[in-house]
Amino acid sequence: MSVANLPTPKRKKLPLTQGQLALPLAAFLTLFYVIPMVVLLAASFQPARGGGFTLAQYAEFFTDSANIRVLTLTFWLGLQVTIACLIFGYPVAYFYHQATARWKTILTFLILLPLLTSAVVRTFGWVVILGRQGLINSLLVGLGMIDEPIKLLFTHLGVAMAMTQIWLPLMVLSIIASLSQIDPRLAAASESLGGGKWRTFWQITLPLSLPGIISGCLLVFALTVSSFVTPSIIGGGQLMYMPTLIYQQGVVLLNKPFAAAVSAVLLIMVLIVVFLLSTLGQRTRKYVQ
Amino acid sequence: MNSVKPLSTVDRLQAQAADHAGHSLKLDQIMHRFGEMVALRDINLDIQPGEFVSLLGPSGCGKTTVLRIISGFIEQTAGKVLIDNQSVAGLTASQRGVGIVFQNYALFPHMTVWDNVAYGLRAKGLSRGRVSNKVGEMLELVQLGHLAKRYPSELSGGQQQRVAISRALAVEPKLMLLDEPFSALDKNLRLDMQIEIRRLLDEQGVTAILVTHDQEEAMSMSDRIALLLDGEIHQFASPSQVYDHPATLFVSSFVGTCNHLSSQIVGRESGAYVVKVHGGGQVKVAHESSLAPNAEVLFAIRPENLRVETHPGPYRIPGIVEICIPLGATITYEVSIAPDKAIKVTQQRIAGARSLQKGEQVYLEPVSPSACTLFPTSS
Ligand SMILES: Nc1ncnc2c1ncn2[C@@H]1O[C@H](COP(=O)(O)OP(=O)(O)O)[C@@H](O)[C@H]1O
Ligand SMILES: [Mg+2]
Repeated sequence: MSVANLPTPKRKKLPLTQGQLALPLAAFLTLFYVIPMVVLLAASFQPARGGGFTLAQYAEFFTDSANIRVLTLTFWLGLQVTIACLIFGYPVAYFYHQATARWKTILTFLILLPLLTSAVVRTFGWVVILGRQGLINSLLVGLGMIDEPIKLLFTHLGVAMAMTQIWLPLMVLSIIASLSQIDPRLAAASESLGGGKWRTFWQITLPLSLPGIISGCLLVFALTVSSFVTPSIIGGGQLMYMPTLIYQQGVVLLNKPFAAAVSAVLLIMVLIVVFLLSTLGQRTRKYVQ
Repeated sequence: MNSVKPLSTVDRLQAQAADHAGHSLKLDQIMHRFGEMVALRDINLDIQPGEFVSLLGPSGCGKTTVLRIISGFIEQTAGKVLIDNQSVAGLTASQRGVGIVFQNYALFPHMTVWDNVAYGLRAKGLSRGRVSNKVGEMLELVQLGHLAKRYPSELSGGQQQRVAISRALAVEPKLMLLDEPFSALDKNLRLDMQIEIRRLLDEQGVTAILVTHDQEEAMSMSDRIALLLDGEIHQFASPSQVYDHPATLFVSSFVGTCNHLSSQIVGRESGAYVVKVHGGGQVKVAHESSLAPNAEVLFAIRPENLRVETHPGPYRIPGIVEICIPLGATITYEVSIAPDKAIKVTQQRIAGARSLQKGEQVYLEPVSPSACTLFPTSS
């Protein structure tokens, strides 16, 4: 999947044509991406036993309401995490953008730090935070806001919180990239025309950072709905999302064709979202030089 | 002025211009520091309502910093900015009513031409009808009505600039600041736009400050030029005054081409100094301020202020023609007066007339002794 809307810098003429330069990557992608994808799709059209072509796997998926629930829950998780990342991420990116060089160094470090730790480690961190005796419950009980610890671990809310923290840096970085592409003179022009800070933000800065918002949302959504480790650990055995369903069917129950069909459904969901967001992105293409 | 536009618009605008006829600007002992570095020191400028002033100086001398202080994007370390004799301290950029045209025009790329021009009017909270009237009027003024629905990326450089100026003028600013607005245009278009912008600003009666490092632009467009070097104003005067009577050696070398000859005052004769040029010859120079007898000076004279004679005289500099550069209407000679000292001389080229040959002996005399300058040297 491409991050379609990050503007690419203009290139000087190179001795090799761009087509030739892309050959090694094209070969690599064909070998390790396109071929496995075709194999996967082919597998999803096979019956559980023996050969032949059948739509039975898809029929089975869409007729079982439990599967539909997994699909909607996964989509819902993706949407929640994306929106939460946007709401928490935009102010951070904006603050970074306005900050002095010295603050930028500190902020860069803080934003990148979580990315330098593995998702597994961060997930176990969240287990500690969300548990009955965890940070959040101790704090809330300590402040007298609740009497009994609330259940966060093994809940959808807990998964969404952890995922938001895990993918937030990607949203922030993507928006920062977009904000830094905006000519600071545009904001100055807005102010010189009598536009106050809020008008300048809503009319100039926000619309012009839309490409970064879109690519950030694409990344976060796609990564969230295909995450496996965090939903399995924080969600425990009780919560099932598409990746955990694929794992269960393919690795535990060895029902490869059904697992392939679930994978294909997940892939299509992601592609639809990518398509919708890219269409929105197309409209911004006009003014991103 | 061309008369393509319907007269009604021009009449109406001129009537409006009379209403909000120019505002004055005064910079009072402005000083600015970036950290430890002093970017501007003791800037004093008194600009009349409706005047067109250029801020001329080499890159990095602080021109943009002056504009940013006037427009309120940075606050000066010391000193005052007064518009109509009122201090604007404490007013934000959006409250000052100072329009800016940027070098790259800074048009809002996600808005059409129409929305760009309407932006400031909407920010002022004008009614829909009044916004639409004014935008139509402004676009008509710059002859861009037919491009109202285009986006900035679909316009040529000159068209973008016209949008930028009409966007800034639409809100009827008290002052107009133009930061190197012509540098991105090619040469022919630049001249057209210079004339057009000067005409527009005159019609509207707006006080304007143009920042530029291009002296021809400053010379041709301004009522007065402020020369800025290293954060200091060296001279603030009319273009001809700046050209003929540069206040400092910097002005003399920055504006136009000028010969600087180390010389010594050797006498006075009927109101003029007799100056002996090191290397040979002496000349008479009319100079206003008084100089000590025998003072060492730099004698500054422009190439076109020298006449080439074939006979020696008491107030002529002897020399030998080294190089001869025909430039169409004029011809420039390099005349050496000493082994390591050459003077540039520019003469009108008369068709058919013989030009001087390399190696020829000549005698140079100032055409106008009052259009020369003497700068005392410390040594
Ligand atoms: N924000 C800033 N911080 C530090 N130094 C600056 C800043 N802006 C400008 N300067 C310095 O101030 C001097 C004047 O800059 P500027 O006004 O942009 O010059 P000009 O417009 O004449 O080219 C330059 O030496 C520049 O490096
Ligand atoms: Mg500048």
